[in-house]
Amino acid sequence: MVSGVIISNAGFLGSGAPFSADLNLVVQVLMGAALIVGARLAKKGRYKAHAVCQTSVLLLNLAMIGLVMWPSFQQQVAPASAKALHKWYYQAAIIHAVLGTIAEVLGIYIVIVAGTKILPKRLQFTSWKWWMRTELVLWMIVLVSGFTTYCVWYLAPFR
Amino acid sequence: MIRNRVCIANAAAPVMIAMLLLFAGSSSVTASDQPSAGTADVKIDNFVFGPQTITVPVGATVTWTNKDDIPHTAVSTDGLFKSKVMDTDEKFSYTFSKAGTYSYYCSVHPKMTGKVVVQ
Repeated sequence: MVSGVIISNAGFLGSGAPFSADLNLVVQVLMGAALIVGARLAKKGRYKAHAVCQTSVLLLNLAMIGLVMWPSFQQQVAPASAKALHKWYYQAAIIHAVLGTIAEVLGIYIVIVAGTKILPKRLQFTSWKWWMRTELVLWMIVLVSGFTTYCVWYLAPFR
Repeated sequence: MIRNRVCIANAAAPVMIAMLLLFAGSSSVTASDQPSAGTADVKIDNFVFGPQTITVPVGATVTWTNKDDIPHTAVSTDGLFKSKVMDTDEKFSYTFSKAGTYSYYCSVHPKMTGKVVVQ
């Protein structure tokens, strides 16, 4: 029972990370790949499939933020006193959190504009390609910053 | 000669009685002041709890101190105790009131494990 709890909490990628962090990393990489596939669907003119793919990724990421990343941030970064924030450990997580929040909010905004008519016209955009490509690039930057955070938190110390 | 011995005995007796009382008194003070059990320290350094297994008497207080540059926790696997996230030089203490073997780990880095044996 005792060791069972430890094992169930331990990750599966061989780093020092807990299970939730390993699972999140795998899901994030898969979501990044799905977004690229989704972008290709748009290029081929399969807009409905493109919309379903990108929206699913966005919602799944929202779930991962709520279940894994936000609780982890709250537990490990938020209580850190201001004097500790100069450490790379915290900086990597904060940079990732800020960029990730922008990417998620921007993604939700794009989905709302593209899929609904609830926003007034002055808040809508017509330059679809520019907004969506910007979002895709930002998402990839967030993915890299997330991987960096994972390395700083769990990989480097256990090498 | 005999009178001298009597004098020495008379002088020595109060001194001996005083010493006996002093020793008796001091031992009773020590006993009442002494904690029922001691304290023990576990240092978290370079992603390791040190010592990894610590043996303490019942009633002992174990204090974990994070000497790493990265935050850690000390969480009992059976839910008995759970520290907040400790940054560098932060401490967490728990008093063990029952005998047993208590396994714990760092919830941030579950590969870091340790054991407290209370006997």
